[in-house]
Amino acid sequence: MTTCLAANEVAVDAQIKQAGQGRLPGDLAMWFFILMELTVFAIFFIGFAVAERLNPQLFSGGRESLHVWVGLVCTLTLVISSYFVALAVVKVRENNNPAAKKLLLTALLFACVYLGAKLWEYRQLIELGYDLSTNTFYTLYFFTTAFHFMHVLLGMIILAYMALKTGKNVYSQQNCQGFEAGAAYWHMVDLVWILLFFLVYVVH
Amino acid sequence: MLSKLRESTGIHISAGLLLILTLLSIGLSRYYPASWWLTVTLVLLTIIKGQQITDVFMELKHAPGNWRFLLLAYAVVIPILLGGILYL
Repeated sequence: MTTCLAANEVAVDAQIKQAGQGRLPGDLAMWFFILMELTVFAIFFIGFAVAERLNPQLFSGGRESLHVWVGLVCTLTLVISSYFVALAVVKVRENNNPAAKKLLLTALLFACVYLGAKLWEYRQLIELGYDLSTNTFYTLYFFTTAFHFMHVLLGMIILAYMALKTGKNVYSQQNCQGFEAGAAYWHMVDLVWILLFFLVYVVH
Repeated sequence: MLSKLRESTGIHISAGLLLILTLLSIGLSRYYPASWWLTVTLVLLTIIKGQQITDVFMELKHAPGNWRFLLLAYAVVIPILLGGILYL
């Protein structure tokens, strides 16, 4: 009896391992879309770095007007949000939709903190008289971070849609490609922010 | 059951590492003046963070073909390129 149970557990383990490893999670189309998005962001980042190299004083002064703690809060909230989404994928593969839904809602809550922190920083800068036309630093800062901000909003819509579907018990170990694709998009948003954080807030 | 535990543990460890490295990046950036070694350190920390997201969160560690390397290229090459542009 015990041997039978152990063998069954090993078989289930192998099934779950096969479901999550040794293959590309989600849809192939989503991965091409992610690569395309990453390429666009990479071009922006290189442009930002080249502009800084050409005018270091301007960028150094511009960075001083930013709030480092906002960058830190944004990074921490996006990482924590990604963490909950990654755990939600595991729960879906265990056919546990209610737990996945709770994890997605928690991820969305942290994403809202990110939005609040970023909007607060934009408001502060605008009140100080900085906008897209102030100088090259602010043009690139507002353009790049706002472009990422729009991706966060789109990612949140995707997560909310996934949470709605988990409420209807749509996903299972056999039917989780859409869920994995949505999760991959959210992690891409996180990956882009990690580089944005390095370029805008950390390096000096 | 065992693989579920392993998968979740990997995610927990990766998230913890990402949070620690983020705090370390900010700490180093605030307390040390700009220098080439600081830039190299910050680039390395960013690469590790990118690798954790692609391998663990995106689950590309065992992905077929060159998908893992395509995504890792972004996490590795871009920070090196940015560091190079800014400080070489």
